[in-house]
Amino acid sequence: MVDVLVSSLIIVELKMRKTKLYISIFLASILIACSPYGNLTKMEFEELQYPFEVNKVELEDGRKIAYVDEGNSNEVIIFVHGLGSYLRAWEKNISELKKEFRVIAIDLPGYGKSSKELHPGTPEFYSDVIAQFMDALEIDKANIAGHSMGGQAAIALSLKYPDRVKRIILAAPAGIEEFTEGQKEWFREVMTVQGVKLTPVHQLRANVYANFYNMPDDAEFMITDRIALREAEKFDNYCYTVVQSVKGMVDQPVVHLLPKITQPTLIVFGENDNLIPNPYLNPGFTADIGRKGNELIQNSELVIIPECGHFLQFEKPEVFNEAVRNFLR
Amino acid sequence: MVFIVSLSVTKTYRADVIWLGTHGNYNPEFQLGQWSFNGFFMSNLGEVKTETNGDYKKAADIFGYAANLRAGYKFGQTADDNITIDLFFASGDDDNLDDKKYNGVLTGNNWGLPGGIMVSHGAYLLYPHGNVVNRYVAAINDLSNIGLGQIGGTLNFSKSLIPNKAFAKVGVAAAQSMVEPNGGGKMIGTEVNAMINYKPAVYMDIELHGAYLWLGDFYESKSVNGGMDVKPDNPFTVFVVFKWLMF
Repeated sequence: MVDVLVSSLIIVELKMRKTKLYISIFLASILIACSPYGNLTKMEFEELQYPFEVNKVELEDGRKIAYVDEGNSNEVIIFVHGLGSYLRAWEKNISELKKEFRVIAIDLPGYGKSSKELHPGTPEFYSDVIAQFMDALEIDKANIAGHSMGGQAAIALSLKYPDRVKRIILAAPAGIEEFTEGQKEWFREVMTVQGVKLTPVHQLRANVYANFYNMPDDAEFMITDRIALREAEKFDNYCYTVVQSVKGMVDQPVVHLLPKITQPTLIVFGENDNLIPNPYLNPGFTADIGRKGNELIQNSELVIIPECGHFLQFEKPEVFNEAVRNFLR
Repeated sequence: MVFIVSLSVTKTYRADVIWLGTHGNYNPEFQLGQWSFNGFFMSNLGEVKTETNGDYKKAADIFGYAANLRAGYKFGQTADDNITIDLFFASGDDDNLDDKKYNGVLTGNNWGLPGGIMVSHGAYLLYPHGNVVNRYVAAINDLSNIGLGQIGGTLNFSKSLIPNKAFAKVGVAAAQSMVEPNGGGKMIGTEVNAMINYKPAVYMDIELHGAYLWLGDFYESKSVNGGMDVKPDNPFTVFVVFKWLMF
């Protein structure tokens, strides 16, 4: 976007005269906002374009979960996206990993094409959803991969349903970084439905850019989809879900439970993650968070990807996919 | 507003001036990518009329202009990892109104040219800096350079030491006048500077700044150096800043 402020004409009369006023008008300041998104049309969540066939399954509680199911293998990986995202977050991984594994990616409740009933948004809630989803697809045990908030949900799942999780893949996971009570309260107060709903376009763009060290051009859909969804029928519910998800993460910390994880765990961080640790509250090196998770989770291995940001599976898919392959072999 | 315009003969005068310009930017805070651009162009045009026996007649035309262009490149993880170049230009006038034209820039007040007060260029002594107490008496204390005009710029290199928590910056700045003052030359000065920033807590900054300025032959002129027979000593500054945004 190019913002051009044109102070088109300012006329100031230096000495006011009775008989001959020069021109004492302030014509205008014209704000011209040239947006490349001006032609985007309104879109409903159901109209989101996914590059894979989308299926839906109804859970015990009536929620409908959208998912893609690719590949033929007994080795199953279930991918869980992060905050404000959807299953397309994994498209560069699904397309490759399906060659060796059965890869399933879901839209969490409230996100993407899944139903938009209101819910608590806690990691435990999401872990229940994933467990129910596995029941519905008759998957007894699977490898769970979670990105960011999805990583915290994967941790919660492995703790609550240890028998359902074979191995854990944590991509830039939330839940390792700790927050003080004051910081948690700040999160609770700053996250509001209206705030999410009214986020201006330039901030939406900045939010997406912040996920990358060097945002790839083909990530642009993350911005355009988000903008086009602003007038969707269920957009308020989506915003509510985002807020609940943030509150859920701070209300149900898992860092003290990490030593209880028994499954083999792969932790992957981008070395230049601008979201973890929180750049305002806990600025510092992302690798330190990775090392902390590596120490707390007894059977874990850590991969740090250089020149890579928070959305590592999308920014450096080759490296991430290879790390996953090596981990699951 | 009334400007003091130096006339060869003291007369009652009237000056009517229009400012016309534009300002634009792209990604000024490196939030949307690696490149950042920012700049403005501003002109002042009009005329000065002097009074004779109750009649005002045109004494001189006014046309001056100023421009700025900043370009930055973010080479690392955070917005603190960048290299930025900032260029300034302001037209000058060497004979005031004697040629019936005034070609200097009228800023209204120090660095108050419509288009913004410029304190974010990274210099401390050559150009005004927002954190120094003498920001209104920098070597070039006004974009117009007391009507003589100037061309100059800064080059700054900033590097994050701890992501989003600490960074360091080094910079250079140089400028010359568009017009030589009586007894002096065009070179105003060359500055080197450095700073280090550390954030001990949220919205709290501790900064150490330092800068040294080699004054040029411009300051050999008594008309700009305060009437001294020799060029003043080169100035330097070292200071610590503590910032805490409380809300």
